[in-house]
Amino acid sequence: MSPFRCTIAQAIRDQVLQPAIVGKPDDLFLACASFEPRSVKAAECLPPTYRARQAIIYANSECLEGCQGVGTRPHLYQLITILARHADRVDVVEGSLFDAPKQLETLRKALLTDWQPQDQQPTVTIDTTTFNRESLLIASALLRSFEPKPTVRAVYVSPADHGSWLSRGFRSVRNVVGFSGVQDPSQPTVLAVLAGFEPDRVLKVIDEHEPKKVLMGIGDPPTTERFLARNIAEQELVLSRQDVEEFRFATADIHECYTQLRCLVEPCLRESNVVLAPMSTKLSTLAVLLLVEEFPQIQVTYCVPGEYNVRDYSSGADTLFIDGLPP
Amino acid sequence: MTDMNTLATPGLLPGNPFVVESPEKLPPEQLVGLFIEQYTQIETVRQRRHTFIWGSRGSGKSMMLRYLEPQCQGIVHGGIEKVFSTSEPFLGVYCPCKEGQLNKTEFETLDESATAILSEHLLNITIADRLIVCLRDQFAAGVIGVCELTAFAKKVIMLFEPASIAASGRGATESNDIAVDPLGWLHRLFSLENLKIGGFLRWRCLGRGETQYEGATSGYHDFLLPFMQLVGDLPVIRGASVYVLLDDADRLNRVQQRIVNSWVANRDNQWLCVKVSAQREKYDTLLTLRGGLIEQPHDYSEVNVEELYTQSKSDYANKVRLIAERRLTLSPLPEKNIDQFLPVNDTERQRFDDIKKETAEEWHKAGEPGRQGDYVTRYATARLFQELKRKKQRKSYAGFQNLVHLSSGIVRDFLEPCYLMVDACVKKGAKLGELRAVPPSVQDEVCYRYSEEFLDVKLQDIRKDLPPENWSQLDALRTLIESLGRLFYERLHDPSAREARVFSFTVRESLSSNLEEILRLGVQHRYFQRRTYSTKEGGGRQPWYILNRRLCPVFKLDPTGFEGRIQLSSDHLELACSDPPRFVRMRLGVVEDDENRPLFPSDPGEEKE
Repeated sequence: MSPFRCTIAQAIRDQVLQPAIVGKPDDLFLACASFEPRSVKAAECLPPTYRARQAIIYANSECLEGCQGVGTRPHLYQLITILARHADRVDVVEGSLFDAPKQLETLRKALLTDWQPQDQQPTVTIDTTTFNRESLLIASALLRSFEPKPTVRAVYVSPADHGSWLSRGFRSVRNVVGFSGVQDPSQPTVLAVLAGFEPDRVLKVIDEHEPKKVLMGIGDPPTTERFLARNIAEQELVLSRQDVEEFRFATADIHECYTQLRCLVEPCLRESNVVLAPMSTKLSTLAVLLLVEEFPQIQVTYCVPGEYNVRDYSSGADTLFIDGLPP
Repeated sequence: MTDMNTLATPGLLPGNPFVVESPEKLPPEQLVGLFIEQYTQIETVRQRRHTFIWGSRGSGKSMMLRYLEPQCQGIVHGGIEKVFSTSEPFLGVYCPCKEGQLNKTEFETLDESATAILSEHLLNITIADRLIVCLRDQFAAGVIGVCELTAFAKKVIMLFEPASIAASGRGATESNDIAVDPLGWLHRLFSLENLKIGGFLRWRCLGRGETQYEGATSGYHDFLLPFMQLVGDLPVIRGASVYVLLDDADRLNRVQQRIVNSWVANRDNQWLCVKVSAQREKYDTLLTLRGGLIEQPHDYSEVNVEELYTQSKSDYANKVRLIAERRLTLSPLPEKNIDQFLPVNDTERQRFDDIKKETAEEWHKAGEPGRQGDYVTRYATARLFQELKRKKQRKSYAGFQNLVHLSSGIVRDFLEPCYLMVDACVKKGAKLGELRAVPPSVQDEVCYRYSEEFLDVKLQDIRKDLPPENWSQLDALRTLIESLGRLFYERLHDPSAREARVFSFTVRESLSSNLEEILRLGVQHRYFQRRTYSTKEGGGRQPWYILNRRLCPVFKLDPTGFEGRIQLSSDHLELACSDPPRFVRMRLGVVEDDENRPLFPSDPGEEKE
């Protein structure tokens, strides 16, 4: 499918979020509850006619505790209420941001054991908006392990704005579970970063991987025009380093982003171990998934943040993006 | 051994000679040119024993390990054959533990037994592959004949269980002819095994249904040790032991560290020695897979690359001098003497000479306590600091010896400020080929900035590495450093203080876990060096914490030495971690009003060194 975008108001007015195949309910609607208000926006855009056989709401246990919980729980209850109107069954599953095995196990149980698609060619809609990138990659990879592959449609709501900072500190840098890749021990490392607004996280990943070369991606076109300037400004320090080469990638077009990454990374694979660090939009993160499906030797790395800016991570909901993963 | 001076080819460092590059990026000629053997304890590392090399990032561990590779040793000895003709020959194989390559997150989803089996195979084939690539790339073609290498490759595959390695063997044969390119064939074999591990881990996490591992497995006695024996049997190598140079081993997961420890426990040094480099506090365990503890000196030797400064300041200064002058020799800079290149502030030096004479006179007036020389050593520097304070002049930290002290045992903390100083001169219009010295004013400018960064920017960076629940401990550490800095400043600038240059503290009782963690954090990030000190009362040794001298400029302290130490109780430390002004008042014995009555009215508890 071709990427589609519209304002939230348009999405509601024109009832754009119909099931992936018109007239047939989706087999699964997958969403993630978070402290960000936009985590409920895609669900709010569902027209009364939208149906899914099952809805699964994923939440990280850390986001349900303490001050994160104060923000997340109301959104979780809101999602349950909204999705109960559209789905035959709504399940809430609790994973973990910090505990990789728990995150994997939760998603495996929810998607490979408990979810029983009734259709030969199941259709899935993922509201990717507030998934953490690690769980989004794992969930999407698990869904694509079905034969034949389900039709997966990704929905993303960009915010009107982001706070002055998004996250602070780090707990660890690790490969996304299932995405450690295969390395030739005698080859140097090339790190390709899809950068967002968190330069410290980029520097931390560079520091941990000690790559010979860094390919630094700036999201262009961005989801919102003014985000490009901020992206460049935030990453200025990294971009000024001698061992860094800049490239541009599409933030809201999975296939376009995948093609750009492929052109960039494929020549490096012959003489280096490639590590990818998706730190931009969720749609560009799905482009990374497609690339790793093609080149499983690539490692995908993830920097677990110390804390999120729970009060002011993002505000408003600007645009609804819909894009599909190829079969 | 080749005279190192013949290696010091000018032009090897065409830019700023104090640049700090990752050793992995340096070509062998440059690495050999820059490495200084003296004062590095490399002789211990060279011994045919397992060795742990402890040190923080930037302390020179990787440089030392890479220096032991054949491509560097060949340059040092004047040919690869000569490397293996020495009395205790070795073949060094550099094996860096890169993030995510060995410590794959997927292992956390397996039980310990499965993790151990797969991890050991992964470690074995990674090391074996590095060794094969080393033989291919670092030995000239023909040094080892194709026939010998083919026979070697055929013996290597026999080490595996035939059925489990068969598929990889066929795969290797499809791409490489073992009779023509035996090392390429082995490289392919190990790559295919690596693929199988990666594929299994990925499929197990992200695939549907049951999955079975279909590759080979290998252990220490059935693969790694006999593999090294086969390597030792190759011509040229002639029975040399293989040194596995395992760099950044703190990146291995706990099970993998226990595997390495199990190898160490085996003590098969004739064929295999493991040289493990790590940050001590991050290397989680010294237990083997079977739960035994490896111990020094029975199982391994130990080298602490940062200990030199606290053991012998003159040896450390000599080491830094050799490194700095080697860099000057390799550079286009005209001055090759580091004392000339980093001159002291001449005005301050002259005044200090006068103060020493005045202090010698003061000794007479004070009733000639002890020896005159000791009195001058103890008080002259303090008098200089006191006079500068009176005249509201800034202390100069210029001069090679001062910069050595400020680096506090970390060579990188000497090189980096020097780099910034040369850079500042170039920015002011100096040409590298004409720069004979860094003016003291420029040195001071950099020293003060570098010191401030350590207190502010570095702490902010550390905060980023900590989960938010530990930030209060970092804040307490910052406050503790502030408290000590202020206290030592007051002591140094007090004309009546007996131990004016005090710079360290001991802890006289057990501490709360929170205080222990704060001090551990301080040691981990090098704000303190921790040693132990024998108590005068007997009864064992107390922990002794010495402040990092890089902090001297920011607190206006004397970096040249320390006398005595203050003794702190748990309550003292609690106060120092929360309220610097009150801590300083209490330690100096300042009487407070009723509202601010001192918490601890007695016993500042000082000891002389």
